Amino acid sequence: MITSATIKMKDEEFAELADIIYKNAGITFTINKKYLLENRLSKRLNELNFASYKDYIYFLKYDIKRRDELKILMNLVTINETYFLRERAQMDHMIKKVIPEMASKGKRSFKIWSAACSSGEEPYSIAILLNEEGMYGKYNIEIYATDINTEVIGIAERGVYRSVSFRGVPPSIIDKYFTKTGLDFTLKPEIKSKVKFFHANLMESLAASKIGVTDFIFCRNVLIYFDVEAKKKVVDMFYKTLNLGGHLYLGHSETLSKIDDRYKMVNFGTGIAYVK
Amino acid sequence: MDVLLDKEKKVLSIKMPQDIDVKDFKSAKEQIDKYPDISEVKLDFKDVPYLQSKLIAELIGIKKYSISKDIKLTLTNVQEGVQQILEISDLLDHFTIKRDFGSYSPHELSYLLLDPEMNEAVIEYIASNFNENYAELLEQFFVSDDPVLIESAILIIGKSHNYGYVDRVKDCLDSPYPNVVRSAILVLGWFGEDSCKNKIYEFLKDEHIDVAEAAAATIALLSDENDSIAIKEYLSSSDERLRKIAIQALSLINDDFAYKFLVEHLKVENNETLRVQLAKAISYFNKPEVSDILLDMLKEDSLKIREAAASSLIRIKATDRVDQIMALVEDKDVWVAYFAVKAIGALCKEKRCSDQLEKIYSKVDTQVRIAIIESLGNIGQDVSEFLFQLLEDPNEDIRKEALNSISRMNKDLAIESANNALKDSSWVVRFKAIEILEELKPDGFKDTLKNHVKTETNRYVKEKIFSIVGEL
Repeated sequence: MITSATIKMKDEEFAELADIIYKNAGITFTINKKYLLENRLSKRLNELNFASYKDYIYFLKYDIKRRDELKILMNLVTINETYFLRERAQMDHMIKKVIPEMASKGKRSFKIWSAACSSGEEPYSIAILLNEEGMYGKYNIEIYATDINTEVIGIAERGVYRSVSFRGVPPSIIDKYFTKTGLDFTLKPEIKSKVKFFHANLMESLAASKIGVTDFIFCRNVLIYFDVEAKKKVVDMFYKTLNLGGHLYLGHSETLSKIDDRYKMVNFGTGIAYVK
Repeated sequence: MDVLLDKEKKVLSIKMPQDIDVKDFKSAKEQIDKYPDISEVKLDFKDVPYLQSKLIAELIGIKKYSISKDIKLTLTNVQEGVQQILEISDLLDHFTIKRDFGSYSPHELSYLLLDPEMNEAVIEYIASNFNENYAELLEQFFVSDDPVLIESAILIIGKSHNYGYVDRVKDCLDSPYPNVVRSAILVLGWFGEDSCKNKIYEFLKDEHIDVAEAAAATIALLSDENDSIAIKEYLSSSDERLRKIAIQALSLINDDFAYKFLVEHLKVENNETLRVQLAKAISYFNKPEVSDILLDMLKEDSLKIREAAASSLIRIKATDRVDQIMALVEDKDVWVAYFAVKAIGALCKEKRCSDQLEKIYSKVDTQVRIAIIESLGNIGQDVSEFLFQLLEDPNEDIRKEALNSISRMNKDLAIESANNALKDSSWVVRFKAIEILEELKPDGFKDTLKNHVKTETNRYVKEKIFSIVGEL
C-alpha cells in the first residue's frame, strides 16, 4: 500500500547523510536525532522511488542533478519551526534598554541581523516591537534577515502565516499588523517592508559580507545544531561583523562558554546577551 | 544539595542537583555501591546547566567505576551547556546520552510538546505512561487556544487507546485548525469509529493535503466492500488532487474492487505524476498481472513513469519475469537500469543472473555498478574472486559494497578483507568494515577495534566502535 510511513534509516546510512549535511551546512545530527532525519526525508525518498537511504545517498553522490538535490536536502533538514514574539525578553532588552542607551550617546542608525530567520517570524517580531515603541520615527533602523533554507526565505518574503505562528501573541498585535483572510494571516506592508531577506549559509564567510557591520545579531536556537568547531567559526564571524558594543543574542540554552571568551556576558535578568 | 534517587528493577536513576559539585559524584558512587544488583545507572542532568572543568574528571571517574562493576552508565537530559563541555573535552563519544521524560513534570512536558523536534517523542511518552496527572493536562490542552497542544492531546488519546474521549475527538472534526482536524481523523480511524465515516468522506476534498490524506487513510481503515465503489467516483474528477487522493485511498483499501478500478483508471489517466502514483499503487496488490502492467509501463516515454515502474518491480515477487527485467539492466536511463539490477538481486538466486551482471559491469555507470555489487551479494552465488578485485577500486562506494557482498558469501575472506579495510583511506569503508566485524565476531575483534580507535580520526567510526566496545 502507498502510505506516508517513515522509512527507517540504518546506522551507516545515518552516518553518511549526517556527514553530507555537516559538510554543506555545518549542522551536526547526532544519532539520537536519527528519527528527525527519517521524518523529514521519507517523503522525498518516496517521491524519488527510493526504498532506502542508501539509494538516496548514491543519488546525491552520482546523479547528474545532484547539486539540485543537495539544495532540496538542505531545505528539508534546516527547517526550524518558530513563532512570533518567541523569547521576547531579548527583543525587549534590545529595544527598551540597549538602543535607548546607545541613542543617548548620539547613535542614530542601527542595524539588526536575524542570522537564522527561518520563515521570518523573528525579524518581523523585531520590526513590530520597534514600531510599537515608536522607534522608526526616531532612528534609522535596518533589519536584515538570512537563512540557509531558500524555501523558508520564500515564505518569509511572502509574509503569509497560519495560526500556529501566533502562539501566545496578544490579539491586539495580530489585529494591528495582520490581515486575516480565511485561515491566512497576511503581514501588513508597512512591517513587511522593514525587513530585507537574503539566503546565507553561516558556515560561509560570505554570509557576513552580505550584511556589513551590524549592531545586533539574533542567532537563536541554531548553534545547538553545530559542533564546537562550527560554533567557533560562526561566533568568530559574528564578532568580526559586530560594532564595538554590539550585542549577540543566542537561544536560552546556548552558551559561548569555552567557545569564544572575547564577548562579555551580560545577564539582564530575563535573559543573556553577549557584548563585543 | 544531595543527589536524588529512584530505583526501578535493575536501573538506578540519580538526579544531579543544579549546583552540582564533587561531593555529588562521590555521593552517586556511594549509592551505586548500595545496590549491588543494578545493571544500569542513569545520571540525570536535567537541572544542571553547566559543568565546571574539575567535575569532568569526576564524571570520567564514575564512568570508569561503572565499567569496573559491569554497570551501564547513561547520562540523561543533558543540557546544551554540559553537552558543549563534553564535546570540547572530546568526551561526547564516550558517554551514552539519552532523553528521559520521566524526570519531567506534566507542566514541563507540555512546554516540550511545543518544540517540534520533541513533540512526537513526548506524545509517545505520555501515551505510554498515561495517568490521572496527564488526564488533567489533556483537559488544559483542550481549553487552550494552541492548535499544537490540542493536536497533541488528540494523538495522546489515540496512542493510549483512551476510548472514553472519543466524543471529544469527534468534536475536533469541526476545529478551524487543519492540524487538529487531521489528528482527529486519524485517531477516529484508529478507534474504528464507523459512525464518522460519512463525515470523514467530506475531508477527501479538503484544501489541506495532509487532511485529505488522513481522510483517505482513515476511510481505508474503516472500509467495507462499499468503500472502493464510493471512492471510484473520485477517480473521474477533473480535480487532479482529488484523483491523487482517490488512488491513495484505493491503494490503502487494497481489495479486489480497488485493484480493478486502479487498473481501469490506468488506461485513461494522462497526468504523468498520477501515472507514477498508479505504478506504485498497483505494485502493492498481490496479483499475478501486476508484473505485466509494470513491464508495459516501462515502454512509456516519460522517465519518471519508467523509473517508478522499474523501482516497483523490486517490490513484487515476479520470479517468472527475470529475463524481461534483465533486459533493462543496460537501459539508457541510469535509474531504470539501477532499479532493474536491484530487482534481479531480489528475485534471482541463479548463477546465470550473477554471470550476466558480472558481464555488463564494465559497461555501465557508477551507480549501476554499485547496484550490481549489492545484487551479487543478494543473489548469493560465490563471486568473491570478482568482488575481491574491486576492493582496490578507486571509488569508496564500490569498495564498501564489495566488502559487504563478500561478507554475505565468504566469511573467512570477509574477516580478512574487513581487517585490511580498517586501514582504508575512506571512513565509509572503515565503517562498513567495523559493521562486518561486529556481525561476524571473529576471535579478538573487540581488541582489534580498541587498538584501531586509538588512531581513528572520523567521528562516526569512533562512535560506532564505542557503541560496540563500550569502553572509555
